[in-house]
Amino acid sequence: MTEAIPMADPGPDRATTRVVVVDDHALFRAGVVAELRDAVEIVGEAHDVASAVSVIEAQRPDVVLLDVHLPGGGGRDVVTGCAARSVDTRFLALSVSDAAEDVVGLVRAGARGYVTKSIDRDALLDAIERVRDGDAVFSPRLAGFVLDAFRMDGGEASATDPDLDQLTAREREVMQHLARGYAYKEIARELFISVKTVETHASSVLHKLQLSSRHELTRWANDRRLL
Amino acid sequence: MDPDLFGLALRATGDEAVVVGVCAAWARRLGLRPITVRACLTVLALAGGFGVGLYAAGFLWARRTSGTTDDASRPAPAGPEPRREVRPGGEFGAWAFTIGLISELRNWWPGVDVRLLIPATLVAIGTSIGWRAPGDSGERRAGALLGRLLGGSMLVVVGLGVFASQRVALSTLRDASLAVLVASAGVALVAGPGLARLVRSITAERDERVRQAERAAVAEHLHDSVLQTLTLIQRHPEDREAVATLARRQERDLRRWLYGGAMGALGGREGSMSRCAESIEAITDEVEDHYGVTVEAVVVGDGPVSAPVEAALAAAREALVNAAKFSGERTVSLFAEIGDATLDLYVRDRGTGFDLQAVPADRHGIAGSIRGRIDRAGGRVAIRTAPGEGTEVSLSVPLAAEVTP
Repeated sequence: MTEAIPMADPGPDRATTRVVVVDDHALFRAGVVAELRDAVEIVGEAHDVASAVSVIEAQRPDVVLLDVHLPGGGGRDVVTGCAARSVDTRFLALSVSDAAEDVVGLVRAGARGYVTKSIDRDALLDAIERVRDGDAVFSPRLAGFVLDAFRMDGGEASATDPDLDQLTAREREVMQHLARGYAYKEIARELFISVKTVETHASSVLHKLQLSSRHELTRWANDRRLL
Repeated sequence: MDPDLFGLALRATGDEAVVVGVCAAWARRLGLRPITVRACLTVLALAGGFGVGLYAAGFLWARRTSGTTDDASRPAPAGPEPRREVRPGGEFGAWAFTIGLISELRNWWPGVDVRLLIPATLVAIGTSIGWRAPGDSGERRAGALLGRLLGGSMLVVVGLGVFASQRVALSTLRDASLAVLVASAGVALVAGPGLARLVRSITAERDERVRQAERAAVAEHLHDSVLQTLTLIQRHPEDREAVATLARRQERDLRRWLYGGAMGALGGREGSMSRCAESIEAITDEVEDHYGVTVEAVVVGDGPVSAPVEAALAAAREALVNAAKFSGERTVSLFAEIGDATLDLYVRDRGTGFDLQAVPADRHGIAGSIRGRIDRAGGRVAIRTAPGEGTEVSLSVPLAAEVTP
């Protein structure tokens, strides 16, 4: 089984978000599709790297729900494969994986966020919408990874770009609230800022995470290559 | 000889045919490998062109018979015929037949030089033995391949030796060099692909062994953990709480096995003392198991468990238990950040919340277990809650115990 499973295309006039679900577990895919079907338009499913890239290339969805671990490579290979074919789509990592290097590896490859599979329907829809609009999505766990990566413990100055290697106080605060389980709206209320500002901070953290040269990040990259 | 040799058998399926399928058809009919028939015909073709004639005859016969057999005379099986077993004895028979034919031919065409034919025949046999993919007859083991390779090479060498032992006159020098050329080509044909295949199959075999060992280890672990849990779950499918607890415990266990601890790749600093992150994990595990809730724990950093940290962990446990018991929510968030000087801990639920002022003073939960502990440890506690708003308990303690009077 390597072929993709394209689905009926009801036409581009519907304003709903077009989503492709990539996961090697058929049961999980079916669950996600059943849960989201009435809110977004599921335009395709795939179960491995090759079929994912081809169905994404054919369907050009707004958002791809992407498992971190896939046969034939990993979520990362889907992101890089689509980038190589210059398919402009946005990825949301959706996984049970706890391994920081896998998750951060996928985010560094270009995913706009990471949520765990235990996420409830409304939160997932919210995340999909956010990713479609180009914003970042941090689950508490990803926020924890980020805080860990940008720990201000060593005082180890980076030679390349110190701005990229640190979070501002506000960004840290936002990440901490995310890690505590706060939603964007709650953070905005808590910090007396607008939701838009929270989104801006989150996007900026994502950007830093993708470009940062902190040594932990380098180590993750090395770990990935060794695996 | 099989009377049917030139008859119904001459119908090679398309994928076996190289030119028009005559050799393949004969091979199928005779239960030989197509390559053997081809080599025999080649040798016969070299022996004054008899092979060419034979091939042409076979071709004509095939054309003639295929027209008649297809229509009516045959209750033809619809599908492709099952492949015949290759008869190993038949191979030698074919070669004996060929050599005999050649010696007969010598009488008919005296111009053919036997000194050229014998080595050429041997080289052809050697080549036909060596020049085959191991999949041809199902032989895949490296040993069989090696044996065939050696046999083929030996025949080629013998062919060359026979040739060299001839007392060569100047007139046959041209034939000699031709035969040497043929023999060298034979060696290359025999040894080249065979060796490459051998190396490839040995590498594949080693990889396969490593994979199997890995698989065995995984299977063993899954059997001891996941399968046992699934059995337990099947035994009590009606007890939802127990099933959830089992599933959660198994998930945690599997996760730890797969990813080596929640923060293994990041927070791990060496040290054999009990670590903060570890202790937090133990607490969340315990609360999950006892109260049937999911604790979404995020821990940043790590450090040794000092006295104040211990107090904070005990208080956090109390907060988790309260959330599990009273919030009405099945999910509780815990966030711990171990910084340079302090441990900050947050326990949050989105449940019913409560009126902090209305809690009777004699209730020990919050007053004693949380505030008292943290106060003694020199830390701070903040509790934020309101009916319908959920609850968040924030704790902050110094990592090292302060010297307090």
